[in-house]
Amino acid sequence: MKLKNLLMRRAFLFFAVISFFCASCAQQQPTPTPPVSGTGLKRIVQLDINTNQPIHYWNARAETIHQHVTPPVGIAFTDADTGENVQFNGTYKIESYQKAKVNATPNESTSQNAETHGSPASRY
Amino acid sequence: MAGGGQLTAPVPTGIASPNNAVVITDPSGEAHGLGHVHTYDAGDFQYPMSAHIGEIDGDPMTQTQVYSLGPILNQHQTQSCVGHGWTLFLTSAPRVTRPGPDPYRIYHEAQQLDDTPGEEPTYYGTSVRAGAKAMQNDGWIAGDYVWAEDVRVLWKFVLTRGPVVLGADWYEGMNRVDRNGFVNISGGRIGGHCFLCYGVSADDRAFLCANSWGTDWGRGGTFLLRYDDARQLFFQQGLVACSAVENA
Repeated sequence: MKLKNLLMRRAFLFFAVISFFCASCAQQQPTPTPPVSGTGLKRIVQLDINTNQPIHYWNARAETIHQHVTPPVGIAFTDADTGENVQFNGTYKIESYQKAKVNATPNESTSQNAETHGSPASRY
Repeated sequence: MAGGGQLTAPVPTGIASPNNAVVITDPSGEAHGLGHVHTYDAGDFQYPMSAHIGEIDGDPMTQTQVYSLGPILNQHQTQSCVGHGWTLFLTSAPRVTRPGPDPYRIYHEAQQLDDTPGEEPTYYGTSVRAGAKAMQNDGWIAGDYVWAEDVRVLWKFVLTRGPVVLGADWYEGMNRVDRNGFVNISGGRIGGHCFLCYGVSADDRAFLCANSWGTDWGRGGTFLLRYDDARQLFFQQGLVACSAVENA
């Protein structure tokens, strides 16, 4: 009888420990964090070298972007919308589309499209 | 010596030299001067850079900006980095003033204006602040010059306004760039150096900087300074960041 009780206690302890570890592991699962740069699509902005104001916008996938950061400073990439290769020298900015922008509200989407597709300044 | 750099004449070690002159030799054997002298001025806090940051859409740390850079300069073995840093500031976007001021003139004028008595040949180098004053005196800067309070302000200012002249403690590990273009804060502190920050790189999480040691040094004369290293230097009061803004 004593032996049976002892075995049952040990079995109970064993399963309790196993349950504890399983619960701990479940709690330690890392929370997925949203990717910083969204889908890998970047917005390239060419800036006027004197006024620092934006003059052209393009979309480009990150893997097509090549920067030249010594004089003459410039950038080359493939326009994600037209497939054309683009290159220019001068001041530029590379923006990452945030998650909020990728899943933009209708108004934001309209505004973004106007910048990247509809504006006369969006193309050479 | 770590980092491939070595001190040569006139200073055997450190910066505890009577005349403050420091010359390093890079891995290719070429000698370069330093020359930034950091002096504290409480008045700088009255001109914070944060008041001049432009609007930023989204997380600034995910954005890259690179300004069109003027020709890379070479100060050779002189201690005139402050003059060269400010000259490159003016020849780069968005000012693009060519040919710009004579860096040696700015340096020597700054020596007259800085907080340290004396000038060459009894005393070498000067401060970024004195360089800004010299630029003002000569009419190259019309407005005020402002100072970054911390590294995040510096990042945002570069991202929205323009290049910034940096004066930093210089370590042995900064005498060369690694294969990814970074300088490393390692080894002993050997002096102070002035250079231009002309962009920020989100992918590298670093500031793009231009040195005045010619195009054979580093990555075509440029290097990357890690954001975290800049933060550490700020924390140690081993970095000042100054830029000019136009008065409203």
